[in-house]
Amino acid sequence: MKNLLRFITSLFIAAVAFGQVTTSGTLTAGSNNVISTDGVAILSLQISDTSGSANAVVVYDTDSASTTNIVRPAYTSAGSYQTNRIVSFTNRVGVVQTYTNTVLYPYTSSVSASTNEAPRVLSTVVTANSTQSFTPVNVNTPLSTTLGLTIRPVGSAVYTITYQPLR
Amino acid sequence: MWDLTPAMQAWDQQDVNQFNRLPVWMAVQQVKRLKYYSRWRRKYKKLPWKPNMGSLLQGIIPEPSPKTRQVAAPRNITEVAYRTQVSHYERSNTGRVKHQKFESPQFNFLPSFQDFRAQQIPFATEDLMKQIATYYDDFIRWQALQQSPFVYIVNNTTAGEGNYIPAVYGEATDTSSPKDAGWFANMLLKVGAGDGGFLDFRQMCAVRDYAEVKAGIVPWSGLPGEPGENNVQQGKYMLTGEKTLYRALAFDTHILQNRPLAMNLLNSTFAGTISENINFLEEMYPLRFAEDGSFPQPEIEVELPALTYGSTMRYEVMPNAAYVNAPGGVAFFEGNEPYEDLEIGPPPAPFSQKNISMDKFTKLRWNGEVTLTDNILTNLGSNQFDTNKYGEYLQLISYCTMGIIAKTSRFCLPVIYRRKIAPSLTIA
Repeated sequence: MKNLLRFITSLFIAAVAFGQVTTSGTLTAGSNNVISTDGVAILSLQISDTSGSANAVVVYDTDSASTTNIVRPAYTSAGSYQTNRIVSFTNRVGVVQTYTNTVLYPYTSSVSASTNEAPRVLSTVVTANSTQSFTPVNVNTPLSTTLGLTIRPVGSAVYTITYQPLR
Repeated sequence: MWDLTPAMQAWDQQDVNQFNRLPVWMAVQQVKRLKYYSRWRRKYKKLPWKPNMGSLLQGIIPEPSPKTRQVAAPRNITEVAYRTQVSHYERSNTGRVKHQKFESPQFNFLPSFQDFRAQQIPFATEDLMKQIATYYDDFIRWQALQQSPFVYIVNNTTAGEGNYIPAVYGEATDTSSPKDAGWFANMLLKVGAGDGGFLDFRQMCAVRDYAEVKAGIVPWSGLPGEPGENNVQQGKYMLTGEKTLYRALAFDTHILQNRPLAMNLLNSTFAGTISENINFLEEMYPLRFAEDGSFPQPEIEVELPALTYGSTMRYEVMPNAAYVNAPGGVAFFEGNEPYEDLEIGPPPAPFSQKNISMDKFTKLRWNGEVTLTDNILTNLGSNQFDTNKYGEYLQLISYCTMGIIAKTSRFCLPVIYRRKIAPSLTIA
């Protein structure tokens, strides 16, 4: 019976772990610690402070080891606004007819390239020498990233993360 | 050797390399490949092109007057009645004929004569035909994407915008496209993170709702009549995209929570229409873009390790990692006839017929048909050229004309989402 229970437990663990990555390591203070260069779904995250002080930790959706900024390239955006369009013409008998219609007028505008902070997936403060854990509120909708996964703490820390690569 | 004593060379063996042998045994291996199926080329109704009408088509569509009020308050009979004057306008669309040539390198007769693998030309012909078919599909799809005035961003994170947003649009040319790489890169940054930005069941329904309410899209099939009690206006829409979107429905939270017990998701997968009126069409090479807004090539030649015997050039065509891992995906939600495919028809008569006086000249074929020609110049090196008068060389050529004209381009709504490869692993 004990062996059967052990076997069932190991099967359950194997089923849960299938396709997921669990990794742990040290987070360098004040640096981008790139965990993944591809989008991931975060299933659980645990951060333990080793600096001895309150430690602000930010998890970014980026794969850059050097910056927490993302350069948004310039692009052309579109929109529309309501305006009056006056149509005026001289009819066949020489009478000037004028109509005013309310229309939506489309426009485009250039948006310059900008440098913004990369999207923050999670932002927290880990109290000194303590551990903070995060799991999604709904396991069916894990927190996901598009460009990568990077953790940047102010002070030194260690982490354990379980995530599912999206691609 | 004569008169050897028993002790002399008693253990001699015959040299194993004494006689001729083939170094390798060559066999042609048959490999099954997925056949390309066209999606976009046959999707829209054909509009036959009339010759001698120029190269620019202007389509005219009468537009009804808009319903400009929700409240009606006429005067009493004892007063002078108000008048409502109704007038309508026209709108126009333009489409242009485009053309593209396809060809193979020049084939010399010698490989077909001496090489082990026969049927080299037929294989090259099929290969060229696939490139032509995919090119035509890509052309239609790219124009549909570029000329769409609105797009749907799954779970748009930009405050105040909403998911259904206006987009820059226009005809894409060979040198520029209104929706450029910078535009796609910015759209990807808007895609939400809350539910992963993936186009799941609920988001598909949301696209349909936005399309009906905001865009007023007429259904793809079936012009709906008056809905009865406890019913809404009928009519189906078409969602075209990568297979992962449809496969993911078998693991979708909403479906799992509400599916009928008879739906077998163990030995089968989700099947049928999505939420009453969304039909799904899988694409073989769906549209995917990278973080910087560029579109990676779908397939790539991978260099394989060299063999001791065999060709020094060993390549295998595989899905490109940059393509399969691209974070951004584009699906298309469509209603009724957003575009028409221009059917160019035959070339002008003097160029398309062979009569006695034109017998020496090549007939112009621009319907994409692949033909084998020996009507080529050969480069002999050192700036010397000669005709192929001895017929030593052949070349596969094809000339394709194409065109597309919008009817109601807002009836094609591109949906930008964040991709997943294996949704079964990311949805519990």
